[in-house]
Amino acid sequence: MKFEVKKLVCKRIVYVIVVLSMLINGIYCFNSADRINSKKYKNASECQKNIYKKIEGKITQDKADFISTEYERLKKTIESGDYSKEYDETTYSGYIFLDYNIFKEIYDEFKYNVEYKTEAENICKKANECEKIYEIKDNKYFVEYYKNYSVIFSNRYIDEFYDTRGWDIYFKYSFSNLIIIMLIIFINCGIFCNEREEKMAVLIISTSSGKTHLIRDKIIAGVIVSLIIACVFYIEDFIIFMTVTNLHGFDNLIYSVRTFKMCPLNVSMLQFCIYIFICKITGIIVISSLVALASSMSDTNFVSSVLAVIFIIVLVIFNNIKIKTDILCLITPQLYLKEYDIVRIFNKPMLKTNYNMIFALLIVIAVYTAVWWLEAESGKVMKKERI
Amino acid sequence: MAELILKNVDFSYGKNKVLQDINIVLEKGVTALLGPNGAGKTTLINIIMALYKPDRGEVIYDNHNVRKLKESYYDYIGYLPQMPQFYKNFTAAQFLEYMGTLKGIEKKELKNKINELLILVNLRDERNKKIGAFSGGMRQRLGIAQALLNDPHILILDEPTAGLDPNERIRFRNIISQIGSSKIVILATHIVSDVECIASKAIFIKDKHAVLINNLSDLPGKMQTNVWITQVEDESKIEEYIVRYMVSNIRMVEDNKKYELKIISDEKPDDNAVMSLPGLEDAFLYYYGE
Repeated sequence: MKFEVKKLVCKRIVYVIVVLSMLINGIYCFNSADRINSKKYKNASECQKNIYKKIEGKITQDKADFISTEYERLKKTIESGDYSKEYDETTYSGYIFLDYNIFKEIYDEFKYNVEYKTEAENICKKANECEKIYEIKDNKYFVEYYKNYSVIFSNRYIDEFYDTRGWDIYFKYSFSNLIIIMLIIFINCGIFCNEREEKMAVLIISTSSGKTHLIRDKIIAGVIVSLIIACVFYIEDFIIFMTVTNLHGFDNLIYSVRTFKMCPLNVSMLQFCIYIFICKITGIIVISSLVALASSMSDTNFVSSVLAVIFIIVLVIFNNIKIKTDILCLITPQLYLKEYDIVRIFNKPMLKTNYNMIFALLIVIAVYTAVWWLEAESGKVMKKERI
Repeated sequence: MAELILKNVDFSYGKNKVLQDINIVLEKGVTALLGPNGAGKTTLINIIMALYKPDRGEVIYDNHNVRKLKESYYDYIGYLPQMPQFYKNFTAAQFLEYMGTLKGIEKKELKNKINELLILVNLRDERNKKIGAFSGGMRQRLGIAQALLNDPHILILDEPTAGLDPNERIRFRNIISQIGSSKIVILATHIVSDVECIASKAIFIKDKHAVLINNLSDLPGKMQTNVWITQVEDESKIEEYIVRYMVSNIRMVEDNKKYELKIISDEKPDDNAVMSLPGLEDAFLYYYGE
């Protein structure tokens, strides 16, 4: 199998393209992450970080009083119009209007954290009411739907406060997915058809292991290479975001990020990262299997890559028409975890991402079975070559 | 050693019949598979290798139909395809290790085998060089090495000398001569001079049929015609000879002042012509010439 991996990756052009891709992704990633910092007022960014550091951790009355007192004071000053727009050493950031913007943002976030428990209880209450209504109507699906809803939102609260701006931008970042898909197509498109293009196919099928073990080894090699590419870029994203935005609060709950206030998962940031990583890897394996299928249907790398792109376009179309079977949702699962995004399976509600992970595994099994059959058939009786 | 038998084999591409009623028995030794381009040599090779299923007939090795032997048949076969490219980013040793693994050779045994074969084909010093940097001749030699990895009983070489310079051709012939006595070696080529020295038998493919000549040296003697040598001074007259007769060779002689023509013909082409002994190439041209 090491030879199959070597065939795919040990080419100068591959090294060049991967390094260039990492560079481009790194720049894009850095620019996205750096949006957290003001370019014009660098002091303001530093000041904001310092204030967050001061009040991070367990939510206490002292911290709440400090934030609301400073916010109210600054709000009054700004609303009065009686303030200097010049640099002032006595302020936090150097400018009174920047101080106000900083404290407004922190105040809103802090308030959201403190009041989240009440909001979750209200959602729970409404879900219970809906459950009762559908019980009367004897609609088992919606009874279960709202039951799950209330279970998810019951006992939800946030007792620690962290700067979640970095997490928010990190979860929104998806440029690396595009690069990963392009690299998988570029590197893996020749996995089977290369043998035909380089006229090694006859030599391979005239060996005792050429027809069966080799197909298995190539499939595994394709998956390994795809997973390595994905991991390299996801790790790159994480390191850049970690460095630039100072990601922390891994034990904090995912719904402490306001974008995910309606997230159906009751997990910490770290657990959420692991979950979306697993979703992404499942999606990547599907894409890898489709590229392998394209390769086994083609005689040249060019045709294989065109076919692979067509398969991806079909997935994109499915993604756009918003049907429940949507493999591409696994590549950006965080978009589907902002809300209680459910699909109906055998009259039971199921998280869309979970459903698509199961469906993806079935697709992978079916596609690789097709690949195996195609390659085994082409090795059995050849009538392709003509003198 | 077991015999390789082709019995009543027919093969066609769609409606186009390529091979008809092929009956051949091969034993150990070097057998040339001769025929012009498009005659069916590679097709016959693919049938022998059980890669093509004949429309009729069967291929038998060691009293077994090769299609029934399935993958185990390939344990007996070593194959060098036409103009092999192999994997440019592999080194010679890596490539042999890869092919050895595909052929099911144990790791410990494989290492020794690779060393032996690289010495045999004179590529020991190039073992860590990438195949992309190899010349055509070096690739052919590497191809022979991979074909011999599993110590095959049947060695099939398809156009092995195409594109090689004279030194490489000689080197190649020497290797085949060394190994040819204990194996069934089938050497498909349209370059007759390459097999003249090493093949004891030949299969001629013409008009969909194959004829096995058991003693190659007898072949020129079976020609129902004569071979003549004549000289011409005027270059423009050569065309006339080509139109009227079968000319097997033209060369310049006497300090480039004259042209010497070798002509295959029943009648004497001109008064100056003298009879010559036919070679294998003349026989080839006699059987295949239009």
